Formats: sequence, C-alpha cells, structure tokens
Amino acid sequence: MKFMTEIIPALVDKCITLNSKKWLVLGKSIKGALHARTGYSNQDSILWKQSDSSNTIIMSVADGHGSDIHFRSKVGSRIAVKTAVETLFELFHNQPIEINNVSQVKDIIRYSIPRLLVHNWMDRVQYHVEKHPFSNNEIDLILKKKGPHILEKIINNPKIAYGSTLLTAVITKNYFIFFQLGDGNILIVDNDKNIRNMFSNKNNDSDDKPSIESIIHTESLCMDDSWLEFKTGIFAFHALKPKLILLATDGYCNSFSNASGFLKIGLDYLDILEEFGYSYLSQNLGNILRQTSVDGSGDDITLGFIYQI
Amino acid sequence: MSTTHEFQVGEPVHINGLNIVCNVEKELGSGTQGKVYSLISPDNSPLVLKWYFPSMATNEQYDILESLIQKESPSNRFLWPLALVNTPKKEGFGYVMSMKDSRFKSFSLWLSRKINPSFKALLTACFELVQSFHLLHSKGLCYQDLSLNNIYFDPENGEIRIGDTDNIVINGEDKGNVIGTPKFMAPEIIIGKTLPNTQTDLYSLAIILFYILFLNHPLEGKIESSIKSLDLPSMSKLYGFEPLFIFDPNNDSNYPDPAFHANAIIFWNIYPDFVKRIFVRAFTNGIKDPMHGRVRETEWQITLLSLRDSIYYCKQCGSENFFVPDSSIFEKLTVPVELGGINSDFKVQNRSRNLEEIQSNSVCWNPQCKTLNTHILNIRIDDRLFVALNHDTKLFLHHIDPDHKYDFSSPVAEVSRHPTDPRVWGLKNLSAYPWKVSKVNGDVIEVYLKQSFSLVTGTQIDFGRSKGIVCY
Repeated sequence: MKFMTEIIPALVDKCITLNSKKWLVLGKSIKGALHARTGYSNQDSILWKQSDSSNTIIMSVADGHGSDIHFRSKVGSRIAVKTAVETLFELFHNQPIEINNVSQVKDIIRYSIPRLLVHNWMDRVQYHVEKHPFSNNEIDLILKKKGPHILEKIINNPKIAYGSTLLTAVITKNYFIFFQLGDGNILIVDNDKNIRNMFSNKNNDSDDKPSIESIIHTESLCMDDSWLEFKTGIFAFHALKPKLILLATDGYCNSFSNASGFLKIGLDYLDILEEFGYSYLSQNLGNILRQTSVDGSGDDITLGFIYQI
Repeated sequence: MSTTHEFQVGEPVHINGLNIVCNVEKELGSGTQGKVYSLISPDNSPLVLKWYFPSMATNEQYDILESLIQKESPSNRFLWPLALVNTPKKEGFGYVMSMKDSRFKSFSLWLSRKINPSFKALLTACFELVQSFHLLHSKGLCYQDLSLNNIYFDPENGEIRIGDTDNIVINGEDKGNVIGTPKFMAPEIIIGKTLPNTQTDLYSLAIILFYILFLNHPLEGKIESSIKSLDLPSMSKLYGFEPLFIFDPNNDSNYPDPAFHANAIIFWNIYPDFVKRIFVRAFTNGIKDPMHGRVRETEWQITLLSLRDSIYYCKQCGSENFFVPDSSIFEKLTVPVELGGINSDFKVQNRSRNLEEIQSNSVCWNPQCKTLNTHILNIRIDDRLFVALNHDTKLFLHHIDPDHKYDFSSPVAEVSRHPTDPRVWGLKNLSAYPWKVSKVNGDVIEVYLKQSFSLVTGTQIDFGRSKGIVCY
C-alpha cells in the first residue's frame, strides 16, 4: 500500500541524571495514514525540556482535534505543549519539591496548576488569533460546512478552533507528577514489569471516575472551565518505581482492538530498549508508529518515552 | 519482587494492638507518604493499613500516632488510627484504621461537577464538618493539614468522613515541621508568626466551607488570575502576606474574574444575606484579628442549620431555593451581630428593606425558571428559628427542644400527605409525647404518636418544650 507520512525527526536528547538515576528521553510523532490520504497535517505535538541542575524533566504531548470546527488545532496542540513545558519547568525548576514541602504544593498542583495551564494556553491562543485573524478561506469553509450559527460561535470564542488535549509528565528529584486533559494515555512500567495506565477510567480504585463516559468527544482545552476536567497525580519515587514512562496520543490505543493489547506496548518497548538498546529504538520508532497507524486507527500517533537506564 | 517496605497480596499483618492477624487483600493506592492496603480481617470488619515510605516513617510520626491511638477518636466521622503496626520483616511502620465506605466521595468530584449533590446534602456535610472539628478542638487537638483532599462526603445525605488523621497534633505543639497547603493555611502560619493551633484550624475550616458552598477559593479572584507563575513566593503573598477576600465590601480589587471564577459570582447571588455576612466577617475580621475575629464553630453551626432549614422547592421547576421570612418576622427573630445579624458596619445589607426586596428572595435562582414563589409554608418555633415545610421536611429534637441542640438522631415530626386527599398536607407526630394543637377556628386537639394535623397557616402547636406556629 502506498502512503505518505510526514515524519518529524526523532527528537533525541542526552541522558539526564536525577537522584542518582539515569534517564533517557525520546519522542516521535508521525502523521497518520488517514491524514496522509486527506492531506491534513499531523495534528499532534510533542515537546520536552530537562535540566540536570534542577533535577527536572518535563514532557508533554497534545492531540489537536483536527475536525472542521477545530481547524487550527495543530497550532492549538503546539501551543499546548509549549505552554505546559514552559510553565511547569519554570515552576519546578525554580522551586523543587522536597519531602518537607510536598504537602504545601499538593493542592497547588491539583487545583491551581490546571487553571494556570489553561489560562496561559488561552492567552497564547488569543495572541495567535490577534496576530493571525481567521482568513476568508477559513471562514468560508466553516460557513459552508457548518453553517452561520457555528461560525458565529467560533468567532465569538476563537479558542474553539484551537481545541486540543494535553498530557504532561513532570519528573523531579523525589516526585512524579502527571496531568491529563482529554484522551491519550500515560503508561508506567515499573521495575517489576507491572503496567499502570495512569488515568484509566477502568481503574476501580480511582475516585475520579466521571459519572457518564462519553464515546463521542474528549475533554479539551477549548472547553469552558476545562481546568476542572484535568486529572492529576502526584507520587513519590517509592510509590511508582518506574522503569519506563510513556505518553501517547489516542491514535496509538485506538489502533488496538482491546485495552490489554495496547497496554502490552509498555513491555514491548521495554524489551526493545533492554535487548536492542536506545539507538536502535530511536532509529526505528518512526517505522513502528507508522505501521501501527496503517494497520490500526489511521490516526496521527505521538509517543514520548522517559526511560530509566 | 517486594521491597522491605511493601506488602504482597495475602501477606499476613500482625496487629498487636487489636490482637488480630489480618491478611493483605490488595493495594488501594499510593501517594507521597506511603501505600494503603485493604485487609481481610478475622471478623470481616473493613480495615485498611497505611504503611509509610522509609523517608516518611520518622520518630515524630510514630509519636503522633501513638498519642492519637491513646486519645481515641472524637467522633465516628474521623478515620482514626486504631493501632500501630510494625514488624521486623518490614522497614518502617504503619497503622490500621477503618475503611472508608465507597459511598463517600471526594469533594473534588463536586468541584469538577461530576456529581451534583443537593444543597441539603452540602449543608449537612458542612455542618458535620464544623461539628467534628468542634469535637476535635474540645479534646485539645488541631488538624493542621485540612484541605479538600482529606474530607469525603456521601452526596446522597451529606454524611462525612475525615481522613489523613495521622497529622493531628496537640494544639500549639511544635512538631518541628509545619505541614499544610498555603491554599488552606491561616495567614499567620504562612508568614511564620505562629504554629498550627485551633485558631488556625478555624480559618482553614472557613476556607473549606466557602469552597464547598461557592465552588471557589475565597481569596482567588482577579489577583489570582493575573499571576503567571505559581511559585511559593506568589502563593505566600496571595494567601499569607496580602490576603484579600473576593467579596470584601471595602475593596473590590480581588473581585472574581468572570472567566475563571464564575461559580463564586453565581453562588454569591443565590445564598441569603445572613450567610454572606458571616463569610464577609470570616475573611475580613477573621484575617485581621486571628485571636478574636474568627467565626466560632457554634456560629457556623447555627448559620448552616438555619440555611438548611430555609430550603424550599420552587413550585415551578423544583430547584432548591432559600427562604428568608418577611421583614416583620425577621426583625423579631433575635439575630445577634456576632451571628451575622444586622450591623451598620457591614455594607452587605441595608436595614430597611422594602417589599420588593423581600419578595426578590423568593424568586427562583434557576436562570431557566425565575418563578416568583409566594406563600412558602413554614413553621416558626419560639421566635427562635423557622423551618420551611416541604414534602420531605422532618423536625428533630434540635428544633423543638432547646436543651437538645444539634440532636438529629431521630425525627420527632414529618410532613405527610393526607391519605385520601393528596392536596392536603399535615404534620405527623413521630414522638412519644402528645402535642397540643390550637386550630384557627379555636378548636384545641391533642395529636399523639403517628397522628397528624393539617398544615393551615395560623395553627399553633405546643410541642411541650417549645411552641410553633404555621405561617406563610
């Protein structure tokens, strides 16, 4: 089957040492088979930042909705990862979480940071739309496909056009912190090869199950009060003992017929890393993801790794 | 493979303090302090084990737990440590407590509107919270790390549970490490002026109550939304050095930002003025004067119960609304200034209220409804309190016996429907004591257990320890 995919070059970074553990960071994003056929660009984004001096790694992935209504969602996802990485890096780089102050920041992390992330994203989106107002082409397309009522909604609330999910992992010297808005997955593979899907709705001991699960839409940065929809988790090192952390947009899990099949990728990637090494994976990751998209969902797929050597 | 501070499923746990051996059922969760496991106990009592990570298993924590176990829980609302657990096979130590039933949910679900409890349930939860802390403080203890993550409630009836009790300390004791989150900490702790004590607990309690009832932090308004970085210095300034109530009547520079704090504005317009007044006091005087300016627990209890008793259902849409009696009755009711009564110092309410203002209190707050509700049936008891009479209203000893304040153990009366004429409502006696009821036509009857009388305005009831009158 002939296809065209856009490959964003693997962004490989050097090893970083945190709390005497060595971590390698790797990420890749590919345009899905479906978007290749339709001419859409890759709506996903990935970004990370790390610092030896402050013992901080931050990785963020985002999935723009890519529909007619969210016609600037690629920009939205790019702004999302940039906002998350910069905001959180500034916070945790300058203010390490220590054992003696973790209780002071827990509620800030749970309740204030999501609102700050959304606020900063909205500010940047507003700046973008002011610098690049909707073109006549964009307006005509919405009018033709969705009608004047929807067009009016978007013009009055331009962030709708930039809708995106957001998944972020923060690793500090003593703690792991995760944020998730919308679909996608954060997987943890621990030293004993147990796999944990961080914010799975099927996780029965989670208190934060939504009362109604939507099969149609995902939570999005463009929704009103979207900060209330964030899921957050804060864990000490001892609680998770991660060997591998993966952040993936939903194009990956949607390529599997069931959840257990998808979860297995955690062990598969760990095996590849341990058997064939980091360089092998960084050279072949694009092919793996591309093939997954072709055989599965056809969607864009983005995958980020944080691997403990 | 387990480490020396973790348990495996099935592993035995010897609880010497309770003289039992349990087995680990499963890991329930883990966080920043340790891991929590459910246990299978010999008599099937639901127990959990919290085991600390090595870095958290300090001598200080051990001493705190020992002290708490000796003191016993102030009430059954606390998930209190029952026994310490330590074993030579495991590093560190832990403790067991009763398991929280699954019907109790985190308040974060209410904050994110994933559950929709009634005002009645929320106010019951708030009342139980205040009552529990009153009991805690009576034992000379303070909670220290109160936040929304430590309290749970049953959204159906408002019953609460208070967790993370392993940080409770003796009032004013220096434990070396001040814990707590700036969002819920009293300003004088944040700026380093004092250690946690019952006065600082009162402040945290006020924050929690505001959060629950207004879905917004009382100090998070325009100033908070202008902060671009949430570092500890900016947090310390917002919550500690320059705290400003979002509805401060003399300074609106921290008024809620409609883009981010819409809930505060919406709910501020729903609750009656006597509720707003007490919150204004909590976050003006309560900030300026930590020792004497804070709202006491008894004051919160009276206000919350009055608010709960004032709930009525809109005749059109069924939404819960709050009924404030007409001005003539309101003036008669003794509402001391310290309980949020009328005081010209506070600019929230003008003393002279015209009829439109009174009637505006009876306009349904539901934006899709806005029906004017008139003739709201209520019972006024001894000019001491009033209770709106709805289809589900129950009266308790708290209402009819001044010597049994806050006794809600079992109802003494309930509103009931006439068995043959559904248009007629009555009040049924559920107590062992007969009431003397004086009807408007002059007849006086006795109403015994399981008997009812019709709810007609002007009917007077002698409950024995108090007297009531049915009103509109």
